[in-house]
Amino acid sequence: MKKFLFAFLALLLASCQTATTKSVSISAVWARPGLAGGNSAVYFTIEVQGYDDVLLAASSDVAEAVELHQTSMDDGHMHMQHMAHGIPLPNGQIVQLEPGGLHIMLIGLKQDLKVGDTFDLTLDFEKGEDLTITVTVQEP
Amino acid sequence: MSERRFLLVALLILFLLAGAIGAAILAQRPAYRGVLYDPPQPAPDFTLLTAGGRQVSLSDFRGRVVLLFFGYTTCPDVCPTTLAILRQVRADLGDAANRLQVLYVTVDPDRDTPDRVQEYVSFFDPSFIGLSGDLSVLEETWAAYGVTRVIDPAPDSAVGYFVTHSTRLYLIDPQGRLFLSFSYGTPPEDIVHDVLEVLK
Repeated sequence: MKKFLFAFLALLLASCQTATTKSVSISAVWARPGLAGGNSAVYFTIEVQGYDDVLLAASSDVAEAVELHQTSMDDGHMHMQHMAHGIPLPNGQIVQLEPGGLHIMLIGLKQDLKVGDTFDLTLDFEKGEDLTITVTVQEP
Repeated sequence: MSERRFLLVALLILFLLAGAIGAAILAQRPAYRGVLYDPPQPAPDFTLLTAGGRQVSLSDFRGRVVLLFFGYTTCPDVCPTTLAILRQVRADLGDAANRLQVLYVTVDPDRDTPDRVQEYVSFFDPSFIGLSGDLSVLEETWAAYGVTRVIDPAPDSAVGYFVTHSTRLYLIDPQGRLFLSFSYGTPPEDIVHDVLEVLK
């Protein structure tokens, strides 16, 4: 019985460990206000643990198209880049989507996005399962 | 005291004196947080179009401080950041806000009609004026302010193309002189400080 209990505990511990070593956490999710027909951008902080992954794409009902973009500043010039191959998410590295950097662009809004509105955004990963997150519209 | 020690002390005193004199000179002139045009030049005038095709000239705003920014409405990241900062500036100015005019000139006239650019900036603050117009007139305006703007094709994006552009914000004083410029990301309190300084 003692031996059995020990094995059970070991198993429990092992399962806990896999749960913590393979995970994706997303926080600080928000989007800019925008007008129907215009554009907006979604920002969040994401970290995968236990494996390397790539955020390949995102989709939402609120926009005609959703793309992964990066803004970069080069000597005071704003330059935009379409991340057609996705955003790499290396194991254990906190990746920040933020103004002036990586962001998810909502192109051709089907509705106004006003402060306090919420909508769903589905994230498509190379390895991980699709994940739907709730985005709140707020002022930067 | 050894000779070496004496020399060190003398040098230290010299440095302190130089610092004090430098500080006194700096205190003579108002410290601006933005970059000063020294001496300020008359700001190049322009006449562009806003909603309904109404003509607006920079010289219409003599007597007020003008904050002038160049951007495009498809730009989802940097341009709205600056407009949100400008809205904050206007709110923080309180009563002085009626002596400020924000002008936003497009770098993307193909997509930004006068109506569209005005609708876009009104979304941030109804007092802001959005401007577009003929490419040739806009090109003169961009050149006059040293704004660089390059069409950057993005065939695999639904956007079609981006516009790489410079991101400085220009302050024109009530006498119509190009007085200060701010780099992207200057905090609202710094801009408020300089606007109030110029209005003094």
